[in-house]
Amino acid sequence: MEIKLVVLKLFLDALGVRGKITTVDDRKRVQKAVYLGQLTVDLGYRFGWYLMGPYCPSLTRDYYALAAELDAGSDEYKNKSLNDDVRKSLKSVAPLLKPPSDVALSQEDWLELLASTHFLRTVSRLDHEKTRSTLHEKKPHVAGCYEKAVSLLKDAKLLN
Amino acid sequence: MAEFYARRISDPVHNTIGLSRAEVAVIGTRCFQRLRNIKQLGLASLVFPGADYSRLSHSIGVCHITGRILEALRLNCPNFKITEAELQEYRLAGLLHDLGHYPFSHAMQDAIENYCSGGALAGSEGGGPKEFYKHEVLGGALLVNDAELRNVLDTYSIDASKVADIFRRAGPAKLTNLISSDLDADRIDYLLRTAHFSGLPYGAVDLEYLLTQLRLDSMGRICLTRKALRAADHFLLSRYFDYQQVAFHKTVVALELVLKDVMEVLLTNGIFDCTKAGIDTQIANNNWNTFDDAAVWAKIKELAHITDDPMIKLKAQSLLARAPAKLVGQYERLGSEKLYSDFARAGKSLKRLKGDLAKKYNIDESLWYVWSKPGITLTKVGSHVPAKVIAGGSGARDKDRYEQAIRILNSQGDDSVDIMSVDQSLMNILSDNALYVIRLYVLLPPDKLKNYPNIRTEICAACTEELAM
Repeated sequence: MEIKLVVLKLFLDALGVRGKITTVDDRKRVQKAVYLGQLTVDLGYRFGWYLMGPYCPSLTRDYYALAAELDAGSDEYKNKSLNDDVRKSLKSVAPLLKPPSDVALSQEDWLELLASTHFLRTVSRLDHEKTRSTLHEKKPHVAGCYEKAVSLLKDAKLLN
Repeated sequence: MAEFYARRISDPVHNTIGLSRAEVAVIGTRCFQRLRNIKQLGLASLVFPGADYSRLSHSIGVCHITGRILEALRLNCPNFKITEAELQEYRLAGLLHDLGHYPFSHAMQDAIENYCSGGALAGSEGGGPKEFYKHEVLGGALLVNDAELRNVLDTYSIDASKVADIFRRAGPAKLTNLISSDLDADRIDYLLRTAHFSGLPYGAVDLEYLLTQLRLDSMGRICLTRKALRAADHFLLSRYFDYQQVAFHKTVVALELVLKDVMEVLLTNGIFDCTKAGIDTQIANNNWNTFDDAAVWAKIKELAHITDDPMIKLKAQSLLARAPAKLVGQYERLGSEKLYSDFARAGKSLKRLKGDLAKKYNIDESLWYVWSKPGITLTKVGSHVPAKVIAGGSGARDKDRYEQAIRILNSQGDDSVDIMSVDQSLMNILSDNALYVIRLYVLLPPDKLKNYPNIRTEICAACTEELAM
């Protein structure tokens, strides 16, 4: 198994995200979790804007390759671990990935909202109001929780 | 206002290409000229001798096709408005989209990813993965940080960040599929150019007809009229065959597997520093512009000469002598995703067999390679979500991947659907299928080469038995 796939597997484990990619929701969860995890530990995946927010085609290739390796019985990752600094950084962002109790969104929708908010504010360089209106236009199913997402991203020092 | 025929150049694929003054000035910069020394197809020219065209000629082709697509939309769609300045930005995004490619392109980027991400593992030096640039991001960084290029863009009042935002998909924009989709300018030029230079017949894309049938739907998405369905199917089929015959050719893959290993040695030993900091230093010191295929070949030659590691020496020498690893076993099936479990089983078998064979023939395990592709698809969407599920509107849409599909305009001329959802399209049937391939290669040391015919016969028999299902 290539080292980058070993690291991806351990990275997802540290974030508490299942690497299962059977359904569309599974794949969305992995995409957005890696985007958010990379805000503290950069694996080098680069995201562009797609319909469901930040999306990285090379991450798609890698998680299909990872799934194939795991299904082929590769277990190189079992005798490897992330170093302490990396684990600590990922541990700090992991709680953010679970929807708060007052947010009525599935985990994948919550992750879509967090990642999209961060992307629009930092990569697309939109201000607070423009980000809100873009989310209402493009993602009405999650836009209602925008303020909560901004607040938690700021608390985690992932957004200014 | 940009004049896109300020200069004309000859091109074997598109005949005459018109360029604006800004484009001519960009092409003249040292960081763009660097692309002249990077082969688009990596080591494929060791198999197809003519397939040695550069990323420079491809980039100029992408600029040309981008302009033609936008001109076609302007002609075909009276409501489509684009200013000359925007047209220039899109053409420049096409021209500059490969600016950040490393030597040997994807083989080197893969090696860099493995080397840098390894920093996240316990026991490695440093406190985490080493930062590195993906080529798209590096292209964006060069646009902003390369003084000569920046000066050219400033001279022509072009906003570098807007150009970079287009090829990095930095925000919601209607024409993004022009740069990254199943039918984008990059893929069109790639297919035409690769067919021309390789001599393979898979580039007979009906570009002129496709351009006449380009439209925008009511949401502003680029699509084709129903009349272009056959041409679109043909384009996707051609691309599929091209990948099989060129990028995934058994010998090209064999050479690139070894190249990737050698690149990782060059990176691990600090011969090239391709971390973000290292590349930033190269850019600042004006060394980036000479970091090309020839620079890497020179280091491979040195490595072959000085290394004490016999396996690394063998690998470096095999590249220099064009003596690829031998294909000794292969699993190949074409069909639906139901094949995936067979594919996974075959992968497991070959991995086990690799260890057994290494011991049996006393050939170091690092010289054995298992290469696998879990589903080579006809469309970017592929077989992971059956088209029927999409057509049935179950809601289980892999929207980010579907966004990249070719879209076909409906008969009312307002909405469009992905090509897989059109009953009469080949993709409706074929998109659910993929090619599942696993190969076992071995790079034979010189003392084993003389016995190669016998070894191959024995290994092939062992592989056939192992893979029999």
